[in-house]
Amino acid sequence: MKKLSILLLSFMVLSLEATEEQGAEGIATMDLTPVVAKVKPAMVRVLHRSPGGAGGGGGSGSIVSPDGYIYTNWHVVTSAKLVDITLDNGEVLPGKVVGTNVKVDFGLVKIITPEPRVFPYVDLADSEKIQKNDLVFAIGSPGDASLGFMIEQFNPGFRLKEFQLVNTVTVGIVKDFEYPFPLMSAEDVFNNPDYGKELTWIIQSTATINAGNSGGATFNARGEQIGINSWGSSAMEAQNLFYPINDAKKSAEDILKYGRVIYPWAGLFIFWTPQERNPTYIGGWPGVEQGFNPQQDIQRYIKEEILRLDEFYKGMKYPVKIKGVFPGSPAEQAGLAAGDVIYSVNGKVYKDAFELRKMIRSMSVGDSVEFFIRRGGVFRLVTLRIEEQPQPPAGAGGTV
Amino acid sequence: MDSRGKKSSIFWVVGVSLLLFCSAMTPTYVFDPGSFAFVEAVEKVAPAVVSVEVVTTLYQSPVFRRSFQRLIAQGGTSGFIVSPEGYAVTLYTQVKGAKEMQVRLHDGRILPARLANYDRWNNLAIIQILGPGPFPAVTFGDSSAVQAGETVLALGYPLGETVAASVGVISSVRDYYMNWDYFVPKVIQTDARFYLYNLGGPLANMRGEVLGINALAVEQSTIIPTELVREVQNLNIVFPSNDLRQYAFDLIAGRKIYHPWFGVIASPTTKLLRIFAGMPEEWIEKDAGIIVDTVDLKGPAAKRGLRVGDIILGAKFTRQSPAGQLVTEEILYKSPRDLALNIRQLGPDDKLKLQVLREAKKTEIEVYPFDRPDDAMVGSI
Repeated sequence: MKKLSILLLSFMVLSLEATEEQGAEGIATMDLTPVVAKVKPAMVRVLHRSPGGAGGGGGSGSIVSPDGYIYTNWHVVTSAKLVDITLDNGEVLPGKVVGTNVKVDFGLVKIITPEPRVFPYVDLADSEKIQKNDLVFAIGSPGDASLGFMIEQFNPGFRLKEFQLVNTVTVGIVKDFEYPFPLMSAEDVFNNPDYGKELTWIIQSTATINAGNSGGATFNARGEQIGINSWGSSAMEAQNLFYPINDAKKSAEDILKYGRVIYPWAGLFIFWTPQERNPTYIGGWPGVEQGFNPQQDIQRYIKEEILRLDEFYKGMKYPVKIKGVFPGSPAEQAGLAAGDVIYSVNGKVYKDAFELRKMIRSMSVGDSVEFFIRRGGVFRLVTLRIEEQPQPPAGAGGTV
Repeated sequence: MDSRGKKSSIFWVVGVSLLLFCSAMTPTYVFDPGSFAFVEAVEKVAPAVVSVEVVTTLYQSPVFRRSFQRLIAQGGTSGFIVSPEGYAVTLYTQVKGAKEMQVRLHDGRILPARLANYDRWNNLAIIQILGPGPFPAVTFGDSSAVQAGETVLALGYPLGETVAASVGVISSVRDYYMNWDYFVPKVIQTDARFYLYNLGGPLANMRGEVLGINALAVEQSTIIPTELVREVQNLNIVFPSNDLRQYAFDLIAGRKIYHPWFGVIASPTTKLLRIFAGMPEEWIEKDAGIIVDTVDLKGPAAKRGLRVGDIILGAKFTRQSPAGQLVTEEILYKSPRDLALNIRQLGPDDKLKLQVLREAKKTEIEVYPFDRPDDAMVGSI
């Protein structure tokens, strides 16, 4: 007995020592200074004035190529044609707005220089690889030069009339992947019904974003840009949202190639509701489904529709129910209607609305696509031809 | 013998099972690798951090002074000990007008304290802890060597009873900040959270060195009046340790901090305004000039004849070099902060020869700085 217990004890001590040794690695990852020093020279401020001289706006941006292309937000440049770009070293250069994609709040700006010049630039990551609890940091210039300063209430006699705009670093972790719900209210703010309506993840992090950080970059711990900062809110603490960089990359490629962003499109409104994402979610999303009782209807929904076909469609979490079809779209011409449930696309089963969107977006204009749907109790096949999604202000944002 | 052997074996069984139980209960807490550095840094700084509790009189009857007709308020803030004799530094605005003051130390002692000295314009106060020493003091770090992205800890007593630490990074080192109506250059900005009553505590790096005093949290934004962007979060300003250390030891020694002051409020000018004002060609080429909005009549600038509407192009600046010679430099003012930075460099015997445009004529006005009085015009430089 004694021998056994001593053996046990020695084993325990050994195992404790082993865990202690592993500890040294974790600390080194916290030092962000070399990574920040690497990417900071590529961060810029984007400012513009309205034609009348009054008003204007501004935000941040990141240089993504050595010839001076800048990624920023649509709501930073809005309808401006020319903007002022301030580099990290304080140099001010003119910039031309090459194009925007209001559906993912993206703006592409090119620095204009008389002679070609090499700028410091950031590397872009693959935002599909982002995971929850990843260490991230955001860089931008909070504050707003055109409207003055943030600290009026503290300094009633503040007469320098400027809040210094400098690149600031904030650090945090990835908290969650959100459906783009805050952008519903942004529709009114920017008076553009297409604003932020592309069905893509908007990622929430704890790295603080203030007004003026918009258009700035969120980086992973290796210093690769993984997103474009879009929204911050201190009313909901640490609710800081950024768009994944892959949407920006696609937008920039299309703008440079075709002059506009082309989304292959069927015309289906399949916005993923909070109830579908999380059946325990209580609280409505007005206007999506009238007379929807989340607690009762979702139970019925799961029982009748999902579990019945669970054996057949194993990988599928929630088959998407069409919320509506865009007038004049391929879907309407093919006879699809609100209430139809889509089970497969071209014979392939998808997991959720995001995957369905990805399948349609990966096709090209002119392709024919076969939907296997159920209407009431009847299953049928519907074939339609993919078209290009109408550009704003047609209001087709939010449809796939 | 038998019973003894039995007892010892029971002891071993109980002991080992207890140890096993304990190790199973708390594995991640004891050996969380990431938190070691934080724990060490907090352990180094925390003993020197104090909670300052003050009682201030809000209202007292001017006639019946001894009656109970008075309103008192209780407040609290954080501070930290900078010398083993018991001198702690905190923010002046938090302890201003204190009738009674007591300090809660990290070891649980509660000792009376008094306001020893203060510097209103940098918002610093030195309080002396009245008790048996020696007290644990902080180690200062070099605030000029900090870089954006460095991990830092903000310490303080947010609820007055225990030290709390929050983690963040140094967001940036700002060239200047206009604070308490006074111009402070080279301040540190951090996103480590500042809570209520946390102000006055130290900002420490991972080596446990203090980089500055938590001075101000920018809170209100008037930028976009929407639901989502309503306030500013985690934009916190820290008064840097290099200035703090110098000022704190001057204040402990009973000296007064000298703040050179002109008594001027100015705005930047556009090129168009300068042309309309009749600025000569050779000055317009220099692309500089600030216009005087207001002058404080008590100030040296007004006494030397600077008037509202004058455009200051720049200055010829004479000062003694460390070698002892008089050196003259010419400086251009593109914005009022250039003037503010320039005035800040002046000693009591230095002078500025301002290049002034008045009624489309070039003049020179020589100004000696005054020490900034307590009733200086709000926001003047």
